[in-house]
Amino acid sequence: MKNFILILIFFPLVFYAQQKKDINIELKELEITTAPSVVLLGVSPSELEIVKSKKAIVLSLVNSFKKSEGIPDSYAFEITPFWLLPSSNMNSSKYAGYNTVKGSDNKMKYKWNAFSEVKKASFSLGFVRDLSLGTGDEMKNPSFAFSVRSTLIRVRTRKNKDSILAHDARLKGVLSNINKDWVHSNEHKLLSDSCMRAGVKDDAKAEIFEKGKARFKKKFAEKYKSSKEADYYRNLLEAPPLISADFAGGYSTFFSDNKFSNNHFGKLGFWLTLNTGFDFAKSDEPNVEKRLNFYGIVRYLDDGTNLDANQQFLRTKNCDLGGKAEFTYKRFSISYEYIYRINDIENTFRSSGLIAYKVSDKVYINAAFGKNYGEKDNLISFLGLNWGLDSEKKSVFVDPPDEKKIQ
Amino acid sequence: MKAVKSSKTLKFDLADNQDVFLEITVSSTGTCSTLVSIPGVKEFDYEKREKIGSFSDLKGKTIEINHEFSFEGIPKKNLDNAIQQTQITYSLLNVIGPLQPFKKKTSKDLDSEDRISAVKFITIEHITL
Repeated sequence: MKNFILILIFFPLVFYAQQKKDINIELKELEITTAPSVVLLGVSPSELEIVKSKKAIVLSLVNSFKKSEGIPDSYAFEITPFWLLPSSNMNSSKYAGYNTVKGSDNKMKYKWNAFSEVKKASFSLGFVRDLSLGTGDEMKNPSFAFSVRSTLIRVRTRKNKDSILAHDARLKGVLSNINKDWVHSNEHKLLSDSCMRAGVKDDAKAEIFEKGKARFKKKFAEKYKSSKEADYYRNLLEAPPLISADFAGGYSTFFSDNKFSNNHFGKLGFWLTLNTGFDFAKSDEPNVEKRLNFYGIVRYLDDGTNLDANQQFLRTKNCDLGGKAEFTYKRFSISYEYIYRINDIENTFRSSGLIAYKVSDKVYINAAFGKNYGEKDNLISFLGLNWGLDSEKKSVFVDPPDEKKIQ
Repeated sequence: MKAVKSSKTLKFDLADNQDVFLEITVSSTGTCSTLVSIPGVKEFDYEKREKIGSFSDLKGKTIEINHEFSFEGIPKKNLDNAIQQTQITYSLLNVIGPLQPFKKKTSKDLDSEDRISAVKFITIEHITL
């Protein structure tokens, strides 16, 4: 009851604060990302997903009204070093997935590198204040997890690859024209003369020229558009792959009855997620998402969180096989996932449906319903809210989503 | 990492017929085009290590280097990181950099097409040792 009162008080305040801020984030920027640590700790609404692009730093809060006392029950912190550390010899073609090779005619040739996403690996830490060890468990069992994930292989369609190369070349041409037109413009000449007369040079001169160039670009903005469609290039780079394979692995440990000496092995898991999809977005409406995604998973999981008849911890080795189909249209996304588990004791399955709906640019509702693994305490019933929290210091924290869930 | 500097004066004691080469390395996830202009000497779109002239042509001249970056392919949530991890290194007999051209800039500094400019000046002077 206390939790509902807290939500009734705080939700309108947070919602109002979000409305006041001018955050221009698309639905796809607010996608619900589940760190592998959260999957390993067993507190995620979906166990099957591939993240199109990872943020530099993500902090996820999961609030379970079932057990918590108004304080978030689970936390995950995910970091992607690729976006934090400077890369050497990086360029737009490499970022898109191409290696440049000099041909025999001394011309640059672009060669697709299916493994280019590996370097964007992310690392996460997860924490659950009280890991549930089945019905009748009255003890507090804090649990920690560490995990890593990365896209091993991404294969794009030929049309997508050709479009990326064509747009990159077109963009370079536009940028080159901006530089040339600016250097030969009257505005540039006037600035040069003014700086010479006033004796302005060095860094001050460079700053004046940068500002002058910005004004020049603004004046001729229409002339220097590289595409008629907003976000055309981003959409090309984030288009569903012909096929991609993501790898994730992690380890968790827990402390039974909140005692340091009661440290136990939690879970050790490795999984491979395959993804393919179809993009039905119309070329004249590229920002209207219309996609059908299919996922497949193969997972090995060594689980040490089960109790035997004598209330002793038991380790089981599980092999999971499953799939998920997901359809996204505008503000709405619907999906169904099924994972079959083969283990030493019994074969079981997880079957659940998920719905997500974008209420506004900042608020996102998701719900899941279905059956979890095993025969006891196996109901998945999840209703949650996600909203993007925008930090003033964007360079340090990149829009951490705050997740609240009713379980 | 050196602080942002937009201009540099380099002093050399070289023979007049000495060839001078310019090498620029840009490391960025964004798309970049670079135009080098030396008044009265030459102007070119930078692609690879380039001979910019003999020392007699260049002494007393200021090289203007215009970089135009586009970050339109970068996810919006990573724009700030992409801008701030961009590095440029100049080499003209000696190495300047690596520099962070947009150290204090964020996605708010990008124009409506997600572009941003960096203008650098390198002045070459003659010094007798």
